[in-house]
Amino acid sequence: MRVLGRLCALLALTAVIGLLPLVAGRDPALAVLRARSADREPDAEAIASVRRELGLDGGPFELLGRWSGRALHGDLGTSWVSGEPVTAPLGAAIGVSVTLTALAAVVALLVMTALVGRPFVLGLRGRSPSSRAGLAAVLAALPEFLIGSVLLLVVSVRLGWLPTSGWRDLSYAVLPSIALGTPAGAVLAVVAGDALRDAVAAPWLRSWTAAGFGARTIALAVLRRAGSVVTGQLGIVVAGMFGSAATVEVVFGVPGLGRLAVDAALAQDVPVVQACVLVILLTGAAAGAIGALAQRLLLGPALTDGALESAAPRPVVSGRLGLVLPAAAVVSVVLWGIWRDPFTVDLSARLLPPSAAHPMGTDALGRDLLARVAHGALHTAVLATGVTVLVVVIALLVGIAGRRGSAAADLVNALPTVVVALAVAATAGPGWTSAVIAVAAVAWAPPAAHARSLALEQRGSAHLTAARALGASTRHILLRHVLPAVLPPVLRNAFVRLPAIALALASLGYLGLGAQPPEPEWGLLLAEGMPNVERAPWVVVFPAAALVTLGVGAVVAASRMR
Amino acid sequence: MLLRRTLLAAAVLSLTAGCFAGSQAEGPARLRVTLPFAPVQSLSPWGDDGVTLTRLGIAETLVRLDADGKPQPLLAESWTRKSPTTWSFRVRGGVKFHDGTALTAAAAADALNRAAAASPVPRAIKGVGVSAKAAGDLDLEVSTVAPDPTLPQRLSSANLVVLSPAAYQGERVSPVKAGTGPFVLPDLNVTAGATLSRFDGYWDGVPALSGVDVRFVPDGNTRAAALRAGEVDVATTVPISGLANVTAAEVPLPRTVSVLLNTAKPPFADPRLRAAVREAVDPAALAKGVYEGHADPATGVFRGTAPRQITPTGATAGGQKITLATWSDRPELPGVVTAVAESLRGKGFEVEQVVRKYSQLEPDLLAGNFDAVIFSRSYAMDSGDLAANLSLDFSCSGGFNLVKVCDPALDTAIGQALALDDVTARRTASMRAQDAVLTTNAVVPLVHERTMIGRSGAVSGLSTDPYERLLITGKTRMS
Repeated sequence: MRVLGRLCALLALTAVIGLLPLVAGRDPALAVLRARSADREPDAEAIASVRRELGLDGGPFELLGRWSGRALHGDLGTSWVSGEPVTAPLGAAIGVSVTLTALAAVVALLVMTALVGRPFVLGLRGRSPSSRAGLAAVLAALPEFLIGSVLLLVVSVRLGWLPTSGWRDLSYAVLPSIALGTPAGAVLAVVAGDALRDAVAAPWLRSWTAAGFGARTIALAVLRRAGSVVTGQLGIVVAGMFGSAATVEVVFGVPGLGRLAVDAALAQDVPVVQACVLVILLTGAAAGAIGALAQRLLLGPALTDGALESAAPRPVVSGRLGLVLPAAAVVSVVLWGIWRDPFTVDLSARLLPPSAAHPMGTDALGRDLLARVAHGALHTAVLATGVTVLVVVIALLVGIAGRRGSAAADLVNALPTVVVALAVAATAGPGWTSAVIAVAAVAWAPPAAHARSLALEQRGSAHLTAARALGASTRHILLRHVLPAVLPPVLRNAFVRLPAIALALASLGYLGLGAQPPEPEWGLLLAEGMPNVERAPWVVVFPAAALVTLGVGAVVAASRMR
Repeated sequence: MLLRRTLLAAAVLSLTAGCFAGSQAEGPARLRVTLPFAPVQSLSPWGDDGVTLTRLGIAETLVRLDADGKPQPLLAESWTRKSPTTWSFRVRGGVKFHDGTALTAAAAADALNRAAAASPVPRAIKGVGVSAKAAGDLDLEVSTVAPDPTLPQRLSSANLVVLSPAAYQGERVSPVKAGTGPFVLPDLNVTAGATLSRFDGYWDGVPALSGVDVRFVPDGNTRAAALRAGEVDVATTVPISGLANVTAAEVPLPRTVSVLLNTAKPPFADPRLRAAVREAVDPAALAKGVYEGHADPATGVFRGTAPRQITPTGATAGGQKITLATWSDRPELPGVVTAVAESLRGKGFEVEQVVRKYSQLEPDLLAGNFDAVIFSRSYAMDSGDLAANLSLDFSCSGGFNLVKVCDPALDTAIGQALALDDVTARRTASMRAQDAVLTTNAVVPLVHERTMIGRSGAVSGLSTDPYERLLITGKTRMS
């Protein structure tokens, strides 16, 4: 019964996302005509002809009826743009994305292991497990397209080791998977670091050591305990890479699912969008189910029997990187540059390298980069922080409330933001609100799943059984036991993604949502600078450094918040 | 145990192998080329994919345009106008389709009639009412509903390629092994790329290349990178920022970037403010600055317009709020819009910029929601006919009159050009009509664009057709 309900929810969500633009009155015939012939004037005759051909005259609800009827029989229809069955391109794209995601997951695991390995070993030896959250935050803040472009230029063009673009054999998947997997692995490392720290701090470890268990046995037990949280996040992250890798797929010319979905959404090719969304939702649901299963397997009956032992919440020992350093860096750049002019175009001073007159150089229109970074700081930081806080609140509400909402988290997690944004924009209109809604609608999922698995473990802990026996109310348990244990890791998980949220907000600009030029939003600065990354690296280096500093600051601040 | 592992590894390998498009053998005389746009409509010639077919040398049209926009023979050897509405074409003899059948007037007539019945009708023959029939083995008769002096030019549109009769099945068309060009398309599995082989029976001599490997890469800088890494021999539409390390042929396009002003509502209903815009912009600085010299400052909508002598009005704005829109699909336009917006602010306008993907911009654009748009427009699409372009963009009944001008005198001037039969006379009259357009200041031309075709040193004989219909021909070779 539950499976059936979930299936219905899945189909409903799929139908809604594809059809929202139509319901909102946008004419797909124009978009389809545009996708077929980019330059053609949209005369009434041509539009009418496309409408007739696609059978649009019946309106969105007739379309919905037709689509659902066929979808239940496994027929996903034919693409409006190409007129071909959806299944062929969809199958090919799924094949590509599965390979790419698998490889990216391996990269993510390697990056995660490299980042948490040392603190783990130190922690096992009983020393203070200083985290490498700083380095992880740096890696997590690097935009995938930046990593991709730099790899492309260095490894493919300069060294000639790997192909630049296309998709023929596994060598074509190496660079895209590194670009995708590195930030993902860094995010996982933050989650894993927290989980490991809690695991090695748990009281049973001391008893086991005293009882003379071997280091290997103890290490495995710690891994198993920490793994229960990490596997859930791993599933979420992998599903995310499966559906929303469009930017990397464009850089490397990889014909993957993310690109197919985004292109189809832009062309309002509803059957293709719906098929992509359906596949992505199913993958998300599967990843979520596997994550939950892994947690159950790793923890065994202890989870439901209230026999878990977890560490009491305690302050986190912050790493060497304090909050002062990133905050001071950002503030001093802002104070330095805020007096300068970020808008004046000077076509005779294009792409000048850093100098006394322009400490960060100039961009492709001769604007002072320091001024632009400084002027963009407040807006970028405030907006991204605001969305992140919103995401944390949703994540806690959904994650702690129970399982029901988390199934939704598994579902929406992998959807490409652009596809969601187009649906949101169609109903809510262009503007900042739509951008925030679209980004938050997808971004709440990973922290929510994290909160769920942490809350589940807390509820299954022995000390709560004791508290309950002493007559503690549900509310008391929630506020005094579950929340304090869940909040810090979830905060860190959400804030390590803050740069990604800033980038996602900026990337919606070309849909008419969010920042528009000449605003010096950091994500826009990066996007504008990318074409010139090779001949004028500073146009990308400084905005990227700013974003990284913001990310590190956010993670450190999140660790201090208690 | 070992066996099991080997089997498992083999299984995994074969599984992953299924996910890739398969390697291709690369002989010495094959040309590897990367294009930006993957086919969207299974290479149906009736949409944008038509140009892909002609650029890759798969299919050909009856007529081609030379650099001056004059019609020249291709699959048709000659033509005469038998009556105001009927043309007679002599189809080239000895031409074979890739499937071995011979090109006849009947096949050509069928191809044209099918295109005329397509949904939607290709722009080149939209509203013309083209119908074709064979009057002999190689004699083709094409008639139009109304007299049309530019029919031969229209037939040069890539949407009107002639494919083998077997290519047309019901309402669908497949160019697989059905063209007449120097290269054969073997199948429709083209999302990742295509492997074309030489057509030994090509009517214009055996092609110099043994085949063409095509791959589609959407990112311009990645295309340039593929060329630099030696993975491809030709990369089209290299962005200006990627030119530094690439040998490229620059092809001046019949394409103009202009500021289009919405004259239907304030503030640009006021001709003085339109003049202020014209006086604010500096085409030479844009061509040199934003385009780094890889574009030509524009003096008119068409290339080759004589500079006008105008005394500046010195008009300025008084803080009028305007929205200035453009689209991000062409990489230089966002830079142009920012530079122009700055100039307009200097003239006293309060400018809000809007940059979106074209597909996201178009509904608002057509609804007239922007005061000004930076528009990159080809003025010689399909027929290369300037008069038709003026009529479409600037006449009262024009189908793409974004500036919303409606001036009887202007319509008369455009009408005079449209009425002329001779190609040269039409052009001269169109240039005269253009002067009337420019006087309105509804359109402020900025630059004429070029396209950059990156190539390795070994490649020669690429076509530099300004209409961007040809690229690889039978004469293209690798040394």
